[in-house]
Amino acid sequence: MRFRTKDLQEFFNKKIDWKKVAQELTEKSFETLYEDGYLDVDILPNRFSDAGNIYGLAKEISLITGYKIKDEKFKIKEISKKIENFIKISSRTHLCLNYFARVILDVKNSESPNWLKEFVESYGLNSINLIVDLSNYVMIKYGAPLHVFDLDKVEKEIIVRESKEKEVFHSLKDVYYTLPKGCILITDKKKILALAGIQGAKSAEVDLNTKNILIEAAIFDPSTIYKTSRALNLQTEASYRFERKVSEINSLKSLEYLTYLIQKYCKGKPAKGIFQLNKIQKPDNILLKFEKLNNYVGEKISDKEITNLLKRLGAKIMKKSKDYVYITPPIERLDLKTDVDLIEEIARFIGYKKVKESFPSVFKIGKENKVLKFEDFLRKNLTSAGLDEVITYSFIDDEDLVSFEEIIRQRGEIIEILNPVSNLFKYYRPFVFINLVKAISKNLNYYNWLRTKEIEIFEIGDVAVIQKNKIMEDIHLGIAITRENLQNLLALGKGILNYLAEILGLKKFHYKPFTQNTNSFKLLSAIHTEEEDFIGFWGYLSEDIMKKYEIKQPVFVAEINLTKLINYFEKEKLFKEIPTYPAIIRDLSLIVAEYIQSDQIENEIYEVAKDLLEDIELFDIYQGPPLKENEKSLAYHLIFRRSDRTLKDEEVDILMSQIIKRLQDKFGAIIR
Amino acid sequence: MKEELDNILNEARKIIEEINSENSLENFRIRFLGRKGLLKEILDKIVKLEEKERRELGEYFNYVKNEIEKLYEVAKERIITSKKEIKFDIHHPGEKIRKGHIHILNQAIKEIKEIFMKLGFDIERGRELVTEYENFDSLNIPPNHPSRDLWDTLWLKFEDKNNKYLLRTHTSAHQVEVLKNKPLPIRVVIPGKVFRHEATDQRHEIQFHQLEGLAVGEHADLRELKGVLKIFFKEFFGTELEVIFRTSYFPFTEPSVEIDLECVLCKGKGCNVCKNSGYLEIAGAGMIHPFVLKEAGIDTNKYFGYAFGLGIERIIMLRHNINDVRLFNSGDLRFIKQF
Repeated sequence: MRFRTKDLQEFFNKKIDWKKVAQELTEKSFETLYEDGYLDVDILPNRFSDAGNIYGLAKEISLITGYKIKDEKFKIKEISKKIENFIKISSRTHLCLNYFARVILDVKNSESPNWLKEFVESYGLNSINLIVDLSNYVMIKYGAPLHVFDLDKVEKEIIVRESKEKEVFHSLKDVYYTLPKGCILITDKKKILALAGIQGAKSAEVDLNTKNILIEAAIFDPSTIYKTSRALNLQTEASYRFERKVSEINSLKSLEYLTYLIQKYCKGKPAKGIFQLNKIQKPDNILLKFEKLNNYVGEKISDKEITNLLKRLGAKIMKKSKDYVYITPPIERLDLKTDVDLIEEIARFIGYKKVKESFPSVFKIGKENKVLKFEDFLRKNLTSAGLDEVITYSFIDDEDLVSFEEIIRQRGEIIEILNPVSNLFKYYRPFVFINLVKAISKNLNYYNWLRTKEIEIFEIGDVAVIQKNKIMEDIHLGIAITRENLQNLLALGKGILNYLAEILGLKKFHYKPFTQNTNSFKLLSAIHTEEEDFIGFWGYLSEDIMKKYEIKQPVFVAEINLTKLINYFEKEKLFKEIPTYPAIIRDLSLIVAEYIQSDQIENEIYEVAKDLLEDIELFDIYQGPPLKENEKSLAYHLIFRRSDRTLKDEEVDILMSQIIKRLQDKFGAIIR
Repeated sequence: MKEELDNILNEARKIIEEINSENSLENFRIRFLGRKGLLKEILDKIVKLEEKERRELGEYFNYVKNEIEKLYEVAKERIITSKKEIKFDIHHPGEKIRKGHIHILNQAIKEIKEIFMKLGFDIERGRELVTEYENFDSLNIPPNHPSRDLWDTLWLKFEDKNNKYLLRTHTSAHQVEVLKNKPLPIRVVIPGKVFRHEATDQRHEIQFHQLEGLAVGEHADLRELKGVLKIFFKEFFGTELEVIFRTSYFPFTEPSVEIDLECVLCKGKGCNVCKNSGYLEIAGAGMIHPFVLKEAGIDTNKYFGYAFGLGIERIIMLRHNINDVRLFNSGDLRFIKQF
């Protein structure tokens, strides 16, 4: 809130150095900027009820500087007729916490004098007329929003009640609102007079012809005001204050002050008495143990200093011992409810500068969550292999959803944001790779800077979908690679997947054709571990998708669920004896039908060779002439070794012929 | 005749190993492969044989000839290259070795984690999609309360019987869960991505990262909070910087403080970055509100503790002179490859 320093100065006899005050406020109360004649004060939300007005801020300044504050004195001259003669007031809702009112007769409303116009305008309000401006003046000075009704437009009675479904409120700004159920209304027998705590109605508006008025100073349930003002998208100076609580004592004081001002400037005659719905609530007492204070702050503060500070705050000391103090907090400080609230008051008054530094007293080295460790492990290894890590937005848009609909649907239902910042951020990402595709497209356009069309990126991050009416959040690794040549690209992509398996201590991943059809990928394959866990998929983008994302060269994509993969991480590696005897390496090249998978062949070979086969490596796959269309040729290195002696050529010869025989029988393989 | 061929091959294999000059290599060629060489002699004999025998031996002849030719080629290569001086320009650019880059954010988070682990803090991880209860209610931020306006929230359309869901607006959303599940005393930090419904510009993003710190038990007081933050900043920025507390308000801490750090760039003298104040607003912190401790089932008569939260991008931007927070999420390799 922005205050004129001259308005604050009125409460002090001493001439104040505002620059210095701004510094002290910043340290002990609220962040404050001083610039020519104004204090811009960021009043904390829990303090708005007491400090969000000129008088309240002056009190805070007095508290931290010690400068004496002077209270304004004013007198009200009532006529003999009682308020009850003019109006009957009742409430039918517990949401109206209290209601004070005064009636003033024979007022003369007019345009505001210049000083008042200037005042309201410098606090960001428009000048309306004298009565309305005075009421705003009081709100800014003493904190309570007041409402003035034209008494002659009220049908004898004021009833506070809750709105029924679909009631219509016609505001004094001439806007019609259809109300939800449960808003607080000020009404008479026939009509709505005000949307309580937010705005008045046209029906009882004060204008230049107004003769008799009723001033309302009420306290409404803060969360109802919050709810109503958000539901109608109608936020006003009044609603802002009611949401942050208004203290009864400020409310009553404001009512009296406005009555005095209207008597003075509008020649009004106040009727006898104040209407008051409920008794003013007394604050609950608070017990503060000195030990707790010292524990929190870590510095020893003497009992005497504590009680002095509390007294200065305006608290009443009810009881005191060497261990504790029992106090009644100042009535306008609605934020002081428990002992920790008092600890804060004391800590900020003695100054946080006095708090020294210490360090954790128990010696221990922290432990890191395993997933986080795993993420860092992957980052280190993938970047070692030349990939760059990116971070992208955790959102996708409609276009993305359509592009990858099938594969997304296979995983679950997309998560939609209720209030997206824009259409580009409409859904929470179900996969990481989608935004990697966009990053590839973007970086290819940066050729001028990067001078390469070879891009390899990955991202590790959270993704989610809805499965069986539950949010399923997982951690995924997405990889996207691009090269000009498709063969090279796929070979590299597979190489990276193999590398990933290897760093996890797995022999390799297993690949199976993906069950779901999709137009967005080619060669889409599922990735499985040796234990047959499905952990992800890889493929390359179809031409349609490439066109859509404006990419002119092939893109390899892989997406892997780390939640499952993590089980393979951090298994202790045990040393294996380095073999003493040399191996015999034989090559095997064969032609089989296209549908036969290398895995199947490898399994057969292992079965025949048993322990003698140390390793098998597929080093070439070929399809095309002179082979028939549905044939392919596979070439393997077979590594044979015995651990107890050197193998003989003849032994391997026999084994090879057995292997060949098996492959011929089983797959009709032709040996080349 | 097959034996003869074998003998020739064996002889060739033996001789070739001792050949060390171009002269002797030429002699080898003439002896075995020349127009009047040993192989030619045999070939002449084979030609005169019966067809069946001729074909069998012919195949074997080709095999032997092939082998000898290979021996010759290998030896030739060996002799010629051993003679040649290697020419290599010392200004040769060298082969380009591809280096991958860990995103600067994750490099920094790794550092941050290591600093806090040395200080005895465990490192935990949370989820990005949390319930309204976790993000707000459990932290003393009730519905229809203006303190909710401190966070501009992205809500999910999805709801279920018990909960509304949202993208966590702060890593504080994990406070109650962590306090509930970990044995006391607790020292833990939680790094993670958070989200805000916000218009983006150089200093604002809809997603960024926070570090949550929590400590309960064993003198987890304001002094320790100050000490821990001070040593953290010293390690992270590589220089001793003053840490000061300022009164603030968060619904889940009481007392609440704003943490100001002596400006990294001007060391408190005042510059553009710190708006001439000499200090930077760098974190929010305070003593954990009893409401939160109770929510986690911790006895507030016995235990107390502190919490802090700081923006990770912000301290990285200060350390590396980065002027636009949006670069972090851009996927732009021109940015990423710089670190």
